[in-house]
Amino acid sequence: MSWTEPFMDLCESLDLAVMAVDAETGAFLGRTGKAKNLMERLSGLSEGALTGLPDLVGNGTWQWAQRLLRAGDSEGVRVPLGDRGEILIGPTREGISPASVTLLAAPYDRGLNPDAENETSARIQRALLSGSGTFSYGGASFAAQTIPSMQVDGDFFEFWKLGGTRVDFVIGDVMGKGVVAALNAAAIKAALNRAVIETLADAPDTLRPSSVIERAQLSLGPELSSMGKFVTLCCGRLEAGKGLLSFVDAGHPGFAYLDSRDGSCWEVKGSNMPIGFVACQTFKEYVLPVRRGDSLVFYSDGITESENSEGELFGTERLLRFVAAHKALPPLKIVEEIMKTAFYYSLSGFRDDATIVAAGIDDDPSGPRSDWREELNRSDGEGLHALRSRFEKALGEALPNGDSRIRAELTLGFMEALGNAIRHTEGTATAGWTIHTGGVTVEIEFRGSDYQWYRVRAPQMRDLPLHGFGSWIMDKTFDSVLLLRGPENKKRLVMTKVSL
Amino acid sequence: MKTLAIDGATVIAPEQRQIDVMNSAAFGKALTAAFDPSKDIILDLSAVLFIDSSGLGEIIRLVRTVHEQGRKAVLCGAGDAVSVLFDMVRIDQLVPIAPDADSARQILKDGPAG
Repeated sequence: MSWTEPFMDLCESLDLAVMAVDAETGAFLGRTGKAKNLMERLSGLSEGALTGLPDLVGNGTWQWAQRLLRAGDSEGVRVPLGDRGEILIGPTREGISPASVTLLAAPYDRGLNPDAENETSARIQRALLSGSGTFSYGGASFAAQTIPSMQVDGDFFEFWKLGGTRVDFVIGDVMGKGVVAALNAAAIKAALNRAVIETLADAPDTLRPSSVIERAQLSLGPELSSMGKFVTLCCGRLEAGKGLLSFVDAGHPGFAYLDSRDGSCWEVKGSNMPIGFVACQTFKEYVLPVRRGDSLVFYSDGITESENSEGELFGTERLLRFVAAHKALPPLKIVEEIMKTAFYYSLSGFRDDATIVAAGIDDDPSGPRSDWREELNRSDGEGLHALRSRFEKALGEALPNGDSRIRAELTLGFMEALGNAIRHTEGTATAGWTIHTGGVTVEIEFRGSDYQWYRVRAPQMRDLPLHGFGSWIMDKTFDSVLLLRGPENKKRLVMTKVSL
Repeated sequence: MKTLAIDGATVIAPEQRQIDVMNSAAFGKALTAAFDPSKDIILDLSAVLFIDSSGLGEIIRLVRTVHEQGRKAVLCGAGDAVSVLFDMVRIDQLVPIAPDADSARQILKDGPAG
């Protein structure tokens, strides 16, 4: 028996859309039933005419793909087929196919669902909830796309362009699948839009990601909670001119932050619960400083929970590595490449809605900024003393007329963060700060195990507590405290005081 | 760490300019060693420029021990940065704070004002 038959049986059993062809000749070797349907829908060709990929993508493209794959290209070639979708030509995966299989084709775009009712539902979902788009505004570029799974699901996103200087946005996912999830998502999106409009009408200065979510929660939280449903979302505000991203997560997966200064990529995640977990909660808003060249990639769990044939998830770490490796790409290309890669990773397509919202910072923040970075050994007591003095001095120079008490509080918060990092690091820590117009950001990087940095409770002095003050002091002295997670146990503590 | 016996109290005066995660354990041991269970305590912090939460924990540990022995404690001499920490955590709910050692002695003698 040749390798083709058992390989195709395997692909068939996994419900994959796979067509195998000979890499040298392009001769057709076999395809799964699902691939047959999809290829016919894509190409409009009869089965008899589909004797190989060259027929579908054209000889020039075919030869180009062959050259790339022979040269070791690991991602393959994406071939657009107009409004019929597109096709991916890529290398086979190790472990599921014989080495002689060199090309696979798997259409991945939406509109491939053979079920007419579902296709209509998917169109409705795109119209009401998401779809795709790209634009530039307020010193940043944005792109977004949702690819529904075969069912109608509950992913959504929305942008609000405000005052020429900032973009507010939301990405969300309603628990469950199908029409009920999609209708819930539509209701939540409507509630968020209403919250923005009402706040702009009533008290525009109070419009913040937290105020939008809290207003939406008032109208939807109790109902969702009583139905046993919930929604995860991340609502953000990007102000490139101020160099700040403010966000409120509500149980949503974290997002990827690409730092253009060193090319590192981090998972950023807050600590709020999804809407509907409890009838009402107060949402904590976080702040992340950004600068020109940085990228932000928000996503739904349909991306990170893409599963390969061995049951391994695409995962957050793989996504972070991917974003770091593609740092030169603009948001639209980032979105497309992640979609393609995650889809291709799973081979059988997304089992859940997959949504990505990406942003690239195009402009430098306005106003003067001063930066400092310094490495600190965990046993270097003198170094710690010197850092405190330097931080205090830098604050004093930047804010000569500032409140000395606020400077003392910030220094205390800074030292608590350093102590926190020293306790959790496996080696050295790198401490730094940026003093910018109106505010200060402290960043402390180290390598160490995870810990529950977000659990902050005010110590009760009557209990004579010996510990537990550090995180509370950090939270009290800075507007936002975040622990970013990077690959290989890297951590970065980021604390920002927006206004001094 | 300087210690001085005055009017039946022990005045403990740390000499470190900064008490933080790097030296708080040693600071705590020195406090314990300086405590005489038969006397009240005045912790004079006038030489200390900065204390973080780990140093605060050692101070609270000392106060706890002093109270367990039925003795009294007073903190004094806190500078600006140390006062910021004390105000933030409301340590005055636990132990009286005096501006200097003389006022602290008066508090031990008369009890806290008001």
